[in-house]
Amino acid sequence: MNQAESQVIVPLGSEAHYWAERIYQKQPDFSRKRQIYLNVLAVHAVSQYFQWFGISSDWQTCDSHDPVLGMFMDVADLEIIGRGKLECRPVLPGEDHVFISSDAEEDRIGYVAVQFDEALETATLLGFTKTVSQDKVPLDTLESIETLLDIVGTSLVAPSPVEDISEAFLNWHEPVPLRAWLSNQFNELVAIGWQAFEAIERFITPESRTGMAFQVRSHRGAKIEAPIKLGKLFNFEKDGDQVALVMGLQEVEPLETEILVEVYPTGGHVSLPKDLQLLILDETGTAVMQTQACGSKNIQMEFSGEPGEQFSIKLAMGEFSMTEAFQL
Amino acid sequence: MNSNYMPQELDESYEQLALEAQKSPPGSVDRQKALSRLVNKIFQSGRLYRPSRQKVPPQFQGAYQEIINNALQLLAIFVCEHIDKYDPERGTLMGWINHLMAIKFIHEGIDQIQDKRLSRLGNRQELDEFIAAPSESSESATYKELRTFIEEDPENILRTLKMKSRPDITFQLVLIRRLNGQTLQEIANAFKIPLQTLAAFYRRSLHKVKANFRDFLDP
Repeated sequence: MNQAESQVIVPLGSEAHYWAERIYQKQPDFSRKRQIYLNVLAVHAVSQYFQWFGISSDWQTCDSHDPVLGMFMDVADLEIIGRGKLECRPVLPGEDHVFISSDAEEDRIGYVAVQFDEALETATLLGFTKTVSQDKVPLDTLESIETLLDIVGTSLVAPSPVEDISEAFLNWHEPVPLRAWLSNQFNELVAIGWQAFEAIERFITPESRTGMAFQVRSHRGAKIEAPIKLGKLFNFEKDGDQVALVMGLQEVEPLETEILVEVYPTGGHVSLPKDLQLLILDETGTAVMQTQACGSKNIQMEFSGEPGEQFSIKLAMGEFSMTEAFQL
Repeated sequence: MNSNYMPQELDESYEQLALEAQKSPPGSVDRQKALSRLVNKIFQSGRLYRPSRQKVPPQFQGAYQEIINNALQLLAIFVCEHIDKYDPERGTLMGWINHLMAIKFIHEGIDQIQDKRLSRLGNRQELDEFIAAPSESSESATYKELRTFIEEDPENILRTLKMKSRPDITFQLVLIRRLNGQTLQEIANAFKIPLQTLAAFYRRSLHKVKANFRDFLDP
């Protein structure tokens, strides 16, 4: 068996540690406290694994979670609903065997070896055995965890109703990498409707182009016109309003890129729709900058980012909005 | 340089595992195995989204890894349940995964901290120090009371539980040996009885009397 490939990593979080702490604390016998803590963590690690597949397990009523029994028994049982109990045995870093306490029931469907890192933050399900004939089972005699899936069997997974899954996940697209833009490769951007600024310039109402447009800091700090700029026309279905969104990029340092975002009215309108909003979102979807048109002729926003950073530009008007994600 | 952008060929194995999972019927063992491999590959990728520390509320700074771990569990459940929603036309699998982490699961991971107290003794080293204390002071007062209760058995509960085939073996006898550190296997050997018989007797008896021991838990 290829050990490394067949092992499963389960990150341990709040719930696993909460229960381990709650149960071990009650132990009057200090020498048993560590074993109890690790046993409970091991049970939760296996339970969490089965959660991935929608397989329900119950540990609340198991002996492993009974602090009274923990005074007198070394058990780490987990009930797999409808299948039976698994014994989940802890293995500490550096150990080459798993110790199976003779306190464990005879009718376990099997025994899982669970190894922990020093910080007890990560559990690794090392392997599985259906039966044991001795207390110490060498790790290299264990079967792979996938065998455990064969035994526990299929799960009845009812997918969440579609309403539960928000638009953010269903309409996701890979953020457009802007790195290529800086070296004049625009394929991905053209594919989603971006064009050279010059191609859409004629749609922008000339009177709306006020102020010092497309200014970014040069390497020496003076304001210059952004060398690379692209534009895209957006139609708002509701009113048939159309605006032009313009983006300018300038690499001011190797680790910093200035981004300029501007919005202009088209179709002869001199000012932007009143309730039009421009928002810049970070990778978590949180707005880090926003502004509303309020009858102004245009909107301009400037920010900078590091390579690898993601951001989204969101245009919103009433209920209608659209968002595009980019990565530097 | 911090860059999540990776060449296309490295991403293919993620896509392959995702498509393999999608091909198998939902709930089938084949799908579970493919998903198991996929989730582990994601966990070991080293390319998972990690929020910058400023994005974590100040009161949770000490629980950073716990937040990540909570998020990873929620992510694993979601991806396994909704793997059919992944569309390679829309982007790379890791791109999708990291989007989900950033936009949803990190936030939920933080919410879970509110519900569950952060463990302080999550470190084996600390556990070792705890246990290395000398035997006298490593026993709580409650433990001493427990031992006394078992040895004296004032209500005659423990010695009246006897093995059917061997009435000389009482639950009290077995319990005292267990408290002294003997395993059931060792006790079975000492009494020359099969382990299964002893273990069944021990467990049955324990379940019968466990209510009597509740008072000896440390509060």
